[in-house]
Amino acid sequence: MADNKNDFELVNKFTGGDESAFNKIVLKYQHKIYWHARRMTGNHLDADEIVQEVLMVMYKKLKNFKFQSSLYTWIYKITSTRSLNFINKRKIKQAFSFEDEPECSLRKNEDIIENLEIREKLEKVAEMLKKIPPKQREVFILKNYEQMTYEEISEITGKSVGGLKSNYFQAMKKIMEMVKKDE
Amino acid sequence: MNERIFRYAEGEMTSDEKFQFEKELKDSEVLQAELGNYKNLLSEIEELRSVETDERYFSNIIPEFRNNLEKKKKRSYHPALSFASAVVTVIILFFILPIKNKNIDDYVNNIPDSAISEYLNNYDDQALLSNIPDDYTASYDSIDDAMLDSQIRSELGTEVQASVYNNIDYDSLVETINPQEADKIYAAMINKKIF
Repeated sequence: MADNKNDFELVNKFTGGDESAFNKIVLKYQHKIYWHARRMTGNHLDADEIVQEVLMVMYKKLKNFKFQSSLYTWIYKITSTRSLNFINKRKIKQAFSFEDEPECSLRKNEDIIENLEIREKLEKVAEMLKKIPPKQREVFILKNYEQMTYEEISEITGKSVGGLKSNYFQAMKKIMEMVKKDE
Repeated sequence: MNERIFRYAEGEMTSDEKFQFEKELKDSEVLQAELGNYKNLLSEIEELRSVETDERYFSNIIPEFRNNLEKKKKRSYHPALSFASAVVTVIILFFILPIKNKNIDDYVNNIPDSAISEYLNNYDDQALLSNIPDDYTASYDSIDDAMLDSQIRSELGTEVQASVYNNIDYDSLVETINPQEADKIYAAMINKKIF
């Protein structure tokens, strides 16, 4: 509640012309935006691109934000939508071979995680997540990593709780099968 | 994956279902192994929920965003704004120009007759000619006779050579013209661009 009040004040300050309030909002949520984008796309560089896109959208649309949902939910909604758009665009590019594969594999080495063991574990999970449909991936990430309830996820995705439960079960089932095969 | 494992792990079972499932679980190694895998996966995810990162990346997010924003502002083209400014310009011209012309007309119409008479009395055509700049007379001299001929002929709608007009004694001709004829001549001349 206090957190929402703080967000409300920051948004009001920003809409009143205080640019530093926007920086404070970014500082507060940048880790969440980055990690959600990274888990959705599976790598640092794509996540970095999405972070900048999300901030641009927030900067432009925050003036019209009326607190019909919490700022936290609104930011996740933007990040999720941008990530899904990014994944779809990448699929189209790959289908038409617009992606420069050698450059991509070289750039994949750029990361902000220095611990190699953790990095390998993240890559392993990212590979599995890539194999499940983006919508199921989204629910899986929001439920397990962000520890959101189905109701919160429903607010972000606009899907019914029943539909989300079914998506989550399908995602879990596929991942469990992959884990089993890996053993 | 067994759906019951999922429902059990997610706390989706009713108390009766849960009681029945736990009874089965005690006796089934397959179910125990599956539930173990499920719990392992969740604990691995939990471990990856919060990992150490190079914080320099996060401290650079805002400067990078501000930089992108600045670039975008410089590049931004607002078609609506351009259209609006064009409309405003047209409106200003529409209102200002007639006012300006109207002011000139008003000014000319308001010149008192005494001022006009004074100007005409003091008018010295020789002084006026001597004030014509050299570049003007040079450009006048450079006018080609043939070009002048063709312009006069097209203007007057006649095939008579300009040289014919040059040989007319205009002073004696003007003396024979009565005021009505002079008015008619001036009225015709005023609409001819060549003069």
